[in-house]
Formats: sequence, C-alpha cells, structure tokens
Amino acid sequence: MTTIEELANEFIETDILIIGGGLAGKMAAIRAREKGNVDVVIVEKAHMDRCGEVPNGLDDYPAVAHPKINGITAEDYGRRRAADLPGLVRTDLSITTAKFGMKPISVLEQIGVRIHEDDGTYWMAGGRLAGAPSNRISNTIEKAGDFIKYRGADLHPKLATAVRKRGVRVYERTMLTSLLTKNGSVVGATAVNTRNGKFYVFKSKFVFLGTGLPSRLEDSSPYVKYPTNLFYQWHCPANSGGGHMAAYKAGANLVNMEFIQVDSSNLGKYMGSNASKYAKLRNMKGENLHEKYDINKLEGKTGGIQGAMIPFAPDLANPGIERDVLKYCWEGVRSTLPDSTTGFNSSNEAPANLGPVMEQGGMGAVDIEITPWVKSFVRSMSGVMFDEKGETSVKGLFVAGDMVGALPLYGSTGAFAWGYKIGDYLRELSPDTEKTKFDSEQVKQVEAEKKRVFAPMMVDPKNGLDPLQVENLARKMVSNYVGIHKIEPRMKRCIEHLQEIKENLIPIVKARDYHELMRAIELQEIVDLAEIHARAAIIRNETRQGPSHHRLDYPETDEQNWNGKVIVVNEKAGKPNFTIQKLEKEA
Amino acid sequence: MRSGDIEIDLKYCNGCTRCYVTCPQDVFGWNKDEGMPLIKYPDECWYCGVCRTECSEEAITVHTPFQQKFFWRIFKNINKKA
Repeated sequence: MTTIEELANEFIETDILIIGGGLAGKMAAIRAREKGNVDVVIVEKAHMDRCGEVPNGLDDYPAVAHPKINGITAEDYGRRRAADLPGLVRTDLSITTAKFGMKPISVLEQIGVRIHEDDGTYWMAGGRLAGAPSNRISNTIEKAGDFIKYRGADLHPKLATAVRKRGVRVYERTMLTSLLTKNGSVVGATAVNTRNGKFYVFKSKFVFLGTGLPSRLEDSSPYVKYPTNLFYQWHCPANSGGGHMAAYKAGANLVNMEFIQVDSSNLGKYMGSNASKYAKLRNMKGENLHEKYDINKLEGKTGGIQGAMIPFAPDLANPGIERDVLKYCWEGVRSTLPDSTTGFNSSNEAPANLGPVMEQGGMGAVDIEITPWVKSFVRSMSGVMFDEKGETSVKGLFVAGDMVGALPLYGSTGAFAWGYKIGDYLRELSPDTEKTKFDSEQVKQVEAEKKRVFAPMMVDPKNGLDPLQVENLARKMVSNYVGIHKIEPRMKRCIEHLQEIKENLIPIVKARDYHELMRAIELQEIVDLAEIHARAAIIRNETRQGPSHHRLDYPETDEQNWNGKVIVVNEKAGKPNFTIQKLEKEA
Repeated sequence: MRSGDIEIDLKYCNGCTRCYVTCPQDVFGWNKDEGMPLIKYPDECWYCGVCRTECSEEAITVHTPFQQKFFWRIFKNINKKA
C-alpha cells in the first residue's frame, strides 16, 4: 500500500494550519503563537511580505466603534451595519466583529505599526456612518467618523517579520489544492509549490482559511487586451476561489453566491470605482451630474449598499438612477484631497495609479463616464458560512477575512478581528485536542488529489490549451450570459457552456511549467464557482440590492417570499445542493 | 528591458531579488547567470506596484496601460502633444 510519505515531497505535521498569509492569516498566526505552546504553519500563495488584497498596505483602519471615539457602541454599530443588508447577513456576527474590531490595534502597535497619532489620539475620518466628515477629532465626538487613519504602507512586511519571529513555519509560493477530511472533520490539506512543483501534504488539528475574495469571476476589464484583462482588476487576482472550492468540497456551506459587486467605472478602468466617488460624474447623455443636481440637498440613508456601492443600471427610462448614483457616490466620499487614488485618500492601495491622476490635477478634476462594472462576488457577504467561533459546518475548519459569508463589509478590521479571535480560541483549544491520525481514506484522498493536480503537466504541450485562453472564454461567458441583468434562459445556457468547458476543455488544458500549473488549477476553481454563481442566481427569482442581483424576468424585490432568506449551497454526491434558509430568527 | 507594461532599467538593478521574491502575481523570473530579474509573465501583472515599492534602486517602472489614461483631459493633452 502506498503511504503519504511516498506520495508527498514533504509531509508536514502541525497543530494549526493557516492557509493564506493575508491580514487574517497573519493575525491568527501571531495570536496562536502568543504563548509558544502550539505549532503553527502558514501556507501562502505569494510571498509573506507582499500578499493578499492589500500587498501595498493600508492607510485606514476601517469600521471601528467606540463610545469615546465616535460616540457609538459596538452593539449599535454592528446592528446598523447589518441593517444595510437586511436578511442577508447575521446581526450577531456583525456585533461580534464590531466588539473585537479594536482589539487587534494593540497587536499592531506592538509590532511597530503605529495606529495612534503622535499626541496619543486617533485621526478619525468619515466612513460608513452618515454625516461623518473627514476631519481630525480631539474632543468633538459628534464629528468623528468610523475610520482611523494611519500610515500602514509597511503593514505586511511588519506583520510578516512578527510572524517569522514567533517561530511560525512559512511555506511561500504554495497554493492550497484540497482539504483532507475524516468523518466530517478537517484533518489536513494538500498544497503545491508554484515554482518548483513540490507536492505537500499537511496534517493538522485545525485548518484556518483566509484565502480572500474570489475575484476572477467575470470579465473584469473588457477594454483591456487579452490576457491582461484577466488580471487587471480591483481585487487581488491571485485569489481565484481556491479556499472556497476546497471548503465546499470538504462539506462547508457557501452563502449568497448569487450576489455580485457592481460598481461604476470609466470605460472599465479599475481605478474608476472609487475614483468615481468624487470625480465629476457624467451620465450617458453627457450631462454633468454635478451641475445638474444640487448634491447637498440629496438626502440619503446611511452606509449605502455595500454589495453595490453605486446602484446603477443603464436604463435611461428610469430617471431615479442618476439620483441614486449621486446619493451613493457622495455618501461614499471620504476625502477631497487631490493626491488620492481611491475614495479613502489612500496613496498606497494603488500607488501605480497615482501618476496619471496627479498629471490631471488630482481626483476632483477628473471626469468619469458611468459604466457599470462587475468586480466580483460581494466581499464578506458571499462566501463560506461560519458561526460565532469562526468555525464552518465542517469541524475544525475556520474561516476569516474577505472569504466569509453573511457578514457586512468590515474590510481589514473584520480580517484582523476574526484572525485575532480565532487565533486566541485555537491556542487555548489546541493543547486539549487529540492529534488526528491518517488512515487509508486520507491516503486515497491524497492519491486522487495528486493525480488531479498534476494532470495538466501530462497534457501534450503541442495540442493542449493555454489555461488563460480557457479562463478568458469562461469569464466572458459568465459576463455575457449571467452578467448584471440576469434572465433565466441565458443563465441556463451559461451553465451548459460551463459544463462543456469542464468536460471537454479542462481535460486538455496544458501546463508547461509549475507557474502555468497554478493557472490551470485556478481555472478549475473559477469554472466551478461560476457555475455555482449561475445556479444560485437562477434560484433567487427576484431582484434584490439594486444591481447586485438584478433579474430582468423578476424586476421587483419579492418581500413576501424572499424576505430574510438566503441561498446556501453545499456539495452532495459531487453536485451542488441548494437550500433556501433563514439566517436570523425574527426579533 | 521592457516587456508588457513593466520596465527594468538593468543599469540600476543591484540584483537584490526583491521584485522576484515579492511579486504577488509571480510575474518575474530570475536569470541566474546574470544575477538579474526576468519579466517572465508580463501579461499577468496586476499593476499593484509592489515591485516598484520594493525596488531600492528605482530601477523598475510600471507603465500605466493606455486604457487607464482614458480621462478626457489626458486625451486632450495627448492630442496637443501630437
């Protein structure tokens, strides 16, 4: 009989296996190694110093609530944020996130990321709370927002150094391919190095997933030439949904997978989403919306729709649209400084974009044409379902960060908070948890996985297909047949196409080196997730949250049948199994 | 050396490997003989700017795609220059 040692280039045993070295993963590793009594391993697809959604760091600590800082309790804040997405997110988890939101600040300050200003106060800025201007607080609580500004350009390198100092073993350029399960619990994972092709098998008591938002769903940049269009986008393109698919195949529940983030952009330019928040807006008739409306008179409700910051649809018959665009754009304004590339006045989130903006005299001087643009699934609302401990329906499998489902958007604060909470929890739990043992079932799983992973290397390079070509085809298919304005027959056609791709094209996708092998494995994840997206979108026969889920055949929000209900999907006998559930009991 | 939208001025490159090590999209390769980076997969760039941030010698330029410059004002400027 084959053994794991024979199948794997390296067999690694640990207590806590962290997949994804982004903000959530790093924070969890630091907390779990606090006392040095548990062994922690991180698997990261890129490099620990620069990875995840914000490789260049951040300059705000978003979504904080504190009575002394901005006059709002965590409880209140959690409720208000959850109320923006009624029925689609869990209020209790939102409150927990808000309660834990500020705890990681002490960890960050210990490792040299200074969040406080020199005088010991926080520099607060306007954020998702209505009427919060972007200004410095001293004693005026009423005027504070919910974003703390800080210099966080070196956030990732400092966290990475702290992680290494605490004796965490790090596997870089290594991508997760599957999770290993035993009687419904997770017991380990398989991974492959994308530079030298080493195949790793991990055995662990717990697995923590922090693999971010799958961002390669649709044709994100249709105006850019192939294959740059596949990667030239707002969210991190390294996150292709590997964590989601591995969790799903291990038996975890995915939720809200029918919702997408729709933003406005300037001819598909990815910077446009946030830029449009305070650039001069023009509609399709060429009118300057700035001049047309007195924006100060627009009343509006808090926060906006997180999933679709700008509810815009190219329906000129509906005059309300322009007003909505303005409402959400201008509520989203966080800064009017000229040297900013995004709505957060952040120069470091997308530094490469700063040049062209400055060339034109700063953000405020730029004209934007409104073009709807799909970024991806909805951050932290569409994703893997988890409970108040951070655990999924699979025992021993924890999730945090952008990949979670049914939580309002807390951004980096959510990633830090849950990384902190789960890291603490697992540190205490680990010494009392028995080590798992692999038996023949796990060996079989590893054997099958190894065969699947390396299959593209066996395809004849002369006749095989380029993984990027097939990805382009699949994503264009999703954009054209599912897209923003959905209609059932076309979505069904999309599913047929995706299945044809799976059956006929994916088996002949080639990989000439291990970098291409990574793209080939990602392709499978993308196609699988796209199919789940299309199927879930068919089931929700209503329109909800503006263009985030817009059905042409069901244009109204159906409160009678869909109020408070979500679509949950898990794998049953190799096929997606959809159920309609209520997330929260009625209060 | 330019490939796609990434340009490395090898005159300034000190061979520190940081671009090769940190690129989140694994765009760079490494030329062991020369001790210099290669731009192996230029089309897979995310334009995140990590390579430029990490480069201590200012050897790397990330060119913004034409499409990114598609602001009307720049358009006019390009016209004027022409």
